[in-house]
Amino acid sequence: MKRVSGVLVLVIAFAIAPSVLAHEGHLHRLMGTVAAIHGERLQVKATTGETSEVVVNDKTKILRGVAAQKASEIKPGERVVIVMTESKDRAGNLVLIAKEIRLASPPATH
Amino acid sequence: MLRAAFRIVIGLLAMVGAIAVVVGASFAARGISAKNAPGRTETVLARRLRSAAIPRAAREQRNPVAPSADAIKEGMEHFADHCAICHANDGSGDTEMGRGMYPRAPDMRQAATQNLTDGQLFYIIENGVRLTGMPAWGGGSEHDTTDNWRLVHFIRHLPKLTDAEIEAMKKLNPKSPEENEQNEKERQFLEGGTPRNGAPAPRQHTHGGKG
Repeated sequence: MKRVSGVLVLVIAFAIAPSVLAHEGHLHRLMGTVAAIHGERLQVKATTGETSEVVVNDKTKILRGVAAQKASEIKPGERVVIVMTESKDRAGNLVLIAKEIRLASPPATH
Repeated sequence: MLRAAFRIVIGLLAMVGAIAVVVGASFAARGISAKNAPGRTETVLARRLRSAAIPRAAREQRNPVAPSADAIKEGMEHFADHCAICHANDGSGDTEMGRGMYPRAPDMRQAATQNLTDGQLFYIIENGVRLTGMPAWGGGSEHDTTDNWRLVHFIRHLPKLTDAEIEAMKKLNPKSPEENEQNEKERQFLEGGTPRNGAPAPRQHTHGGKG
């Protein structure tokens, strides 16, 4: 009987267990130049002239060529290609979150 | 004796009834949506059920493909071509497909996958897992079998995967002509070029995955 009760508890727990991690949206790509850096936010001027603000977090992968970089190594004026998702913050505002940032490779040395 | 049997029957009936109520309530509340990830209890129960469903002989099977750099490389190439669309090149499951499945594609670098035996990993690749997005890849040929055992070697390698290996895998991921064109434009842009007229908008929607 104890075993049956145990299974029942599990089944009920299964039903009321909170769901986690809401679905993340589609990926978007942004190609442009870093206009400004404000802490964890990059202002990027796209090649069309439109400026977007993109959040860089500790999950963002930053690459220069194939070499991993730190966020602090991104400089204003650099060309970037950003793969990002759109999500909403607590206030319901749309936020762009960078998943991957590609920077120009350093010039080859001979 | 009769009383004990009666109690068991009542207990079982109660359990079936509770399951029916719970499943019904769950569907009533969430419908068939895959939008939210399964809760912890459901995940634990499902994983236990999956383990229990793999026959012992399969679980204890040893990898007949000797571990080597070549075996890992071939597994990696196969993974990039067939598996990464859901599992991501780095095995994190962080792709549009993987994030949207119910259950989510697992992070295969973590203990929940790495603690499975080689036989269990092979069995899952060969047979798939019902009611998940995992298809059965076992075609029955010797070629398929060897490929799948190489994949097991590669899965073991995932926690040690380097950035250079991930970049190499990206070149092997299946891509549409539009994605190839976009990648080429981005490469030219990063090298100082100017996107030519008629190019897709710089902020573009994509279906690609991560890693």
